[in-house]
Amino acid sequence: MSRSFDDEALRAAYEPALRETSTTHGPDCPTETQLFAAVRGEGDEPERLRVLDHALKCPACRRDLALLHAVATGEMRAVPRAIRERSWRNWVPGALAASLLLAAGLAGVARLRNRGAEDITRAGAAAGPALLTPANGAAVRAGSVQFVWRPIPGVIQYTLEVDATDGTVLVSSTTRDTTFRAPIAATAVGENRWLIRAKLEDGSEKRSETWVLKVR
Amino acid sequence: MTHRDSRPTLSVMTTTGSHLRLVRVDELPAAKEQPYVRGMTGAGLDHVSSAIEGVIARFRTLVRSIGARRGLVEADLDEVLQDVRIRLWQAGEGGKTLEELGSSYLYHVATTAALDLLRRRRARRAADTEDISERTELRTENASPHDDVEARELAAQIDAAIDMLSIDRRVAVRFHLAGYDRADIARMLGWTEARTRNLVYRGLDDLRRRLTDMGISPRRTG
Repeated sequence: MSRSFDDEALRAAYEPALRETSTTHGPDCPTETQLFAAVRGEGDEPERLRVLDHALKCPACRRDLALLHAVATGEMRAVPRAIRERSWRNWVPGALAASLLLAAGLAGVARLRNRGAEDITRAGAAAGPALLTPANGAAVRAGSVQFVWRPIPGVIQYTLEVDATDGTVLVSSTTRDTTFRAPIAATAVGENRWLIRAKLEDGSEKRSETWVLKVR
Repeated sequence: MTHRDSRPTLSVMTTTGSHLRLVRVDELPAAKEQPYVRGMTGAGLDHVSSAIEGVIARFRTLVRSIGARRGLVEADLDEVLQDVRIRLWQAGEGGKTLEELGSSYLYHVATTAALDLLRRRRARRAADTEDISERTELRTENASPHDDVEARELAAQIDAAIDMLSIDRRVAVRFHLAGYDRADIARMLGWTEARTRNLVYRGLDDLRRRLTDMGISPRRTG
């Protein structure tokens, strides 16, 4: 039986696809203005998704995206959106604001460097809590649902999370126990998923598998 | 020729440990009597030049740190910074001090320079009469040609599997694999941190499941 990719292996295996770069754009490529708007989080979500979906796959647009993101991110991290939009039109600031912005930008970089591997990249590598019930793919009625999982050593608390298909969090509750009764709203009808995140004494986090929970 | 008053007008950003602070010209150790005017030569020019270069160097460090893991091409950044350098000089000649301009001006100029670069590049390509397709490899590993072909094939299979995901998970996963962090993804897509995390998790889970179904694993199987 073949083993599954952990995140590190997946990144390494995908890396050759990212190596290719180009400056040749095709007719489907977004304009640089559309790309920049998406980088700044402007416009509606479907449009941003469309532009970024293309840009991440196209070697020429991916290169443009990396440049625009790197140049614009310092400002976006340092300045709240409302202020950013105002200062964009009227950009002559005071000396104090100027020094604070650059200092904040550099502090952000330091945080970026220190952050190291995120919990996402660790996920899947080590065994998290084993889920017990509701079974994977089980269908339940909206209302009160009992969730049960196996304990793992060194845990401070567990977080039960139930998410809708679009990623919206329906339930997020913490407990020290290995069971939790959560209210599942009638609006959650459809295919949802649930998982347990275990916060450990050493500050790290382990994640269970993700199971499907159908709500009738 | 433009005539300027003799008040000291040059201010620079400098570092004190890891902090940046603005320094008035009268705090500077040398060349404080030099106005920042067209045709300036000698120590005054050196002083302005080193002030601008200092700002550019720190901005380069910042941008490179952000772009390093996300596919930023060094040559693109160099071209943008050259443009920024010219615009800072032009702004100075127009009577602005670096202090007056501030760092948000720097971001503004850098972003405009980046957009101009992309515009020029696209216009140049559109003007080409021949169908030129320029595709290059950013880096190559010390792998044998056979290993390289295998690695590319595996990457292409993963890419094909990602294509099958729903668009929100597909974008989240591609961002994640391209080295963007959750804050980047959330900011660009207007998602909450929790929603971003869920879509990355779910997308990666879906991707692994599809790869398993396709018989693709870290050690290639048929």
